[in-house]
Amino acid sequence: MNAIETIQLTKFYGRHRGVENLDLEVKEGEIFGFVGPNGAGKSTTIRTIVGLILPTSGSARVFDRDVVREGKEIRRQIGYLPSEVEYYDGMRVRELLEYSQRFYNQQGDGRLLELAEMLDLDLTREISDLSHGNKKKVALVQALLHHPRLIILDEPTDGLDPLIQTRLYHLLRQENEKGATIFFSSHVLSEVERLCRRVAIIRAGTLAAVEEIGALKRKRVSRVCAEFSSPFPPDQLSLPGVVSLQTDDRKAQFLYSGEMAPLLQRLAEMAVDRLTVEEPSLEEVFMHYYEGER
Amino acid sequence: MNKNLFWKELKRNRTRFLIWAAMLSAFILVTVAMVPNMAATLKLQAILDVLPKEISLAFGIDPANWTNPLGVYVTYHVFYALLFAAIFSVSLGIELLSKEEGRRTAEFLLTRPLGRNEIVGSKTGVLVVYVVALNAVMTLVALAGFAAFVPGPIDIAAFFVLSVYTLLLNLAIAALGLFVSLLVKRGRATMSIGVGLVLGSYFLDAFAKAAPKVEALGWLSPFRFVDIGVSQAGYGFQWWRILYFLGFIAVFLALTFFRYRKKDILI
Repeated sequence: MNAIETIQLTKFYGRHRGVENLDLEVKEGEIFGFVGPNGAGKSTTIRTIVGLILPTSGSARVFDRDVVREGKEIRRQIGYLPSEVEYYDGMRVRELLEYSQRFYNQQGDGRLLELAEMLDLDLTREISDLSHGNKKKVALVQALLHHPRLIILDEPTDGLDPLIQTRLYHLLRQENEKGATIFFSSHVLSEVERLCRRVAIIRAGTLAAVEEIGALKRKRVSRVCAEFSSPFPPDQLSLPGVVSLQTDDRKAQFLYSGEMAPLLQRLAEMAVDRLTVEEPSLEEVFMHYYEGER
Repeated sequence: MNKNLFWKELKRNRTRFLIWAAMLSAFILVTVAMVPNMAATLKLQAILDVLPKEISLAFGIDPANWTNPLGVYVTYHVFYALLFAAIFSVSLGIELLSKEEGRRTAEFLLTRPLGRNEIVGSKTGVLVVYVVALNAVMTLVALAGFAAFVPGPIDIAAFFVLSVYTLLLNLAIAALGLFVSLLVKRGRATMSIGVGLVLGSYFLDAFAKAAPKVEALGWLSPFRFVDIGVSQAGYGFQWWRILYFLGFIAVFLALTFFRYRKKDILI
């Protein structure tokens, strides 16, 4: 069964595009990454899935239920961490978490205490006194408290220190091992790389690609750095497959996708002093997608 | 209706209610304490002699009402129980839904397992409780004041009728506030719009009374449907006034439920 499925999902805010004709499938039990630059449509997609906004056309389903018609039942099974966390003034952490628990008819505070301890969260503090990072911890506990089948995280590590980030990854892996599906949205690709098995790349409101993380990294995209013994005209490197070209007098850096032979042939004609070809980071792979289609 | 949300909202708005209830109770008590003195010395007649007739009519100062202490009190009731309480009602009505978006807590509330109707239903429940409670407090304080300060009998039946009309007006204004808050974009000054609506409606009725050529325009205002002529013979409930308020409340609540179901919650 698909945990999430969007079918030609389109959302416009007046004349402004949120997402357009988005077809996405997330299998139950997956840890699925959702990456794209700011304004690409990540939060619009998520907010449609959790029922905050309504699709302009198309549909979204969670565990085979329509997010508009059966939103209440769906939300019972979702744990959602928003990118920006705001809570009610004058409430203490424990009061808010217990308030949230009651919406799920959940009894007892064993789970609450366990999560709070794991994330080093003080339950007695007033929420308005908390730092951004600590508010994020409250939101994480609140998202995981009711043992959701689907955990949707929008920029979850923003504001968390590295130690807590590591604990969060551990916690999410544990939840996934217990059967929870995790939908992890981020613009920091190294985070996605660390946790996810598959990733969807969204740009300008449309789906650019869905890839296995390994396959994405193995794509024939290389980071090339060449130093030359004499100045060279940059258009000599205008080959198919070359993107993000940066040059100065005797040096060129770029991303390259495609067969290596034509590139090496061209470089051989250019008096190369030093050449490095590296595996690109996921950020660079992503930039390749983004820039290549612009 | 969701009990968890209802009780939390009730608690969250308790301080605002207590402040308004205390303020209006104090006004009413002071006014009722002054009524015997004003009625006895006919100071009101002196005021009427000074004020132009149109202004007197506009502000509900009607000498026909001054034949008894209740009639004198009504001159002030128009300001406290109608105008000020309507401002409380519209402001609470506007804030209950819109503050979730304005303070960005909607992302928490609307991602709980709640239907949109449950949210509007629970918030409407809180609104009704506080509007009814404020009206009950005003009525009880006035009755206590009459007992303490006004010698002689008070027409309790007429005061009861007036209090019911006042409650209906406040509920209608509260329902209007709920609906209006859904039409205004996040971040806009919803409170100013609400208070403007109440004052606009009040003065539309007031000035229409003073200008015979546009007198009919006053019927566009809910304030026109409150009968304040407590001293007139046969004063009592009139079915068309009651029906107007019930219809007004039903229409704006229905519009609120309908609109909220279709509303994008923008954070």
